[in-house]
Amino acid sequence: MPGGNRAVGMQGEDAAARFLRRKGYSIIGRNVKTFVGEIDIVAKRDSFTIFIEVKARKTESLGPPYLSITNKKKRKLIQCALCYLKMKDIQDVPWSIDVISVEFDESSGRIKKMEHFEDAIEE
Amino acid sequence: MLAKSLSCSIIGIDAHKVDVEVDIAEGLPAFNIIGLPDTAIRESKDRIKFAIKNSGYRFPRGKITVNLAPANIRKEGSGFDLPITLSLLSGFGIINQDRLLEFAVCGELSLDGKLKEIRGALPMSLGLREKGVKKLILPKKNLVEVSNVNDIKIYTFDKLSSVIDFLNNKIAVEPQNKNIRLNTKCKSRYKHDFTDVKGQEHVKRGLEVAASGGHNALLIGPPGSGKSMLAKRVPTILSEMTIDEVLDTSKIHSVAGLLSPNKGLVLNRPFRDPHHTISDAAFAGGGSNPVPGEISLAHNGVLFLDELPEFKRNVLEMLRQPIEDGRIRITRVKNNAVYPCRFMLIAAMNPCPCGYFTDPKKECHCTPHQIQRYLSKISGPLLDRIDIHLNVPRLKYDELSGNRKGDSSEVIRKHVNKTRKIQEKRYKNDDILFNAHLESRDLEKYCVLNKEGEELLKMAILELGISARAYDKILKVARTIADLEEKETIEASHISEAISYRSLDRDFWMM
Repeated sequence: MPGGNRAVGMQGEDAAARFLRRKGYSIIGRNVKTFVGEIDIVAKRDSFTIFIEVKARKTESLGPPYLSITNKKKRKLIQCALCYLKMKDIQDVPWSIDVISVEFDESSGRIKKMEHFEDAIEE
Repeated sequence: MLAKSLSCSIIGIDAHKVDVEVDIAEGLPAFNIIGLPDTAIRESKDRIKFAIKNSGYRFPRGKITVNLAPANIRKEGSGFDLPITLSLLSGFGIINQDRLLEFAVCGELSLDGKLKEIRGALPMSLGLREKGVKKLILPKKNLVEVSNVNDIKIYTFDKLSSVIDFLNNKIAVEPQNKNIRLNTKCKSRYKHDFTDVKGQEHVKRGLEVAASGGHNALLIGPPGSGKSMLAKRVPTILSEMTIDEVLDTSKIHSVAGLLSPNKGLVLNRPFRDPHHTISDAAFAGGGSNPVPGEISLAHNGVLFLDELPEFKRNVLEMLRQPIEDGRIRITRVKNNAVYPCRFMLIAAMNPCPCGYFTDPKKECHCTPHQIQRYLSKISGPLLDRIDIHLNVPRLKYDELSGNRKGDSSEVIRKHVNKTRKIQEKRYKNDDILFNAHLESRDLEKYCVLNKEGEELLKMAILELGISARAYDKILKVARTIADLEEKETIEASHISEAISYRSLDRDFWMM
């Protein structure tokens, strides 16, 4: 089904944004484009700016979604975040990159599992 | 947020102060350690993270940079876990910075927040004391080792949370080292005694002479004649260790991680008997981060080399300088260290590959060529450093079954002590410790022979084919024998006994 993965991705990001709001984060931006790439969610809590990468999946055959974040992807995320901070001219703020992994049930399409990894990516 | 704590790194057996600086900056969470850390220190970040978490605190978020200053010396070991953790917590406001700086800190952390013992706690506490540090925090498991160090307050803990509580004045802890001065002489206890060895009276006498004058000895005899048994008992006749000797030897053992947690200092003179397959680095000390080798572990004790010709030639040749200097400098590309190694060398060997060349009962099957090759493993210069050669024959039946016991180690030790005192007095103005260290030019001054002695020596040289080298040795050994009898001039009887200890010069293997 062409476009299916993208739909799942969007669904996942929506779910993650709802989840973050419930947790007390304020969402600043969704699918923010930088010169290097796209950031799924940019949020804020306390003084922290948090960049969130959402990984969503419908099938179980490839293992949990968060496993698909490779070192290359990690480097890319850091670059994206740095680029964002530069674009907005934000300096000297604490920031981190989190990962939210969303699993949907294959038949019903409901959320089966949602995991939030804080500080998932370090330098 | 910047925070600092004081720790220490060991190079050789010397302690060097190290400042552990931590900066927690804004930015993507990271944990970097700089300042020439080794792999164990680099891995410490994972231990620290979980130790903090499992002690009930939150790991501070932020871009963390740890600097170990001075940045130009190489740091090694796991002892930096605790100082890094405490600086980190101090930077995060959990510990008072000024209070933390009162202490020097060393310790390894486990994931559950417990403190583990570190290597080199003794040289650290002694070194830091000399550098003016007044208070030291160490893991509880190192307490026994450092409990006799005075003039520095040592606090020991078994887990991270108690260290934090202590630094926050939530719990009161008294310094745990006894802070008492040890007697100048330490009571040694040995399991063996010379009375265990039956017969071999002349060998025991030879070893007594060797111990008295600091001479190195070589035991030659067929298998099973008791060479190893005798050598093992040599430490028991050496004088009691002085407190300085105890500390020096313990320092080396501490750095090598050989001090057991419940035994503390090395109170017995060490006896090291490395196997002949030993590698160069294990023997002399080495590694890119140098560690002491067997010769240093034998410092102030006995180094016993059983089956001397079986050792690799280059291993034996490495002995030459350390025997002369009493210390060895290990130089590697990135590091160098000096370890003391003043030991008494006792070597044992068979007279030939099959072992029975000198045995009156059993026939030797070796060809002259085989024997030649066997002996050629030991170089002249090495043999030159061994003053006393002792022939250890196989025991006869009545010696084995008899009840005759020789002097006990304690009696012999008294003779040895007395003789060493005489030497101390005689050489107080020279840079000499024992008769064995006499140089050729000193011989004229200190080894005065009487007329009979002189004549006997002359005859021995003419008749027995004794070399010039052996001549010096005979004089030195005779000096020790005369000292044992408290005589100032060397007499004929002393010379003749000394000649009997030079069996290798007397064409022992004439075939």
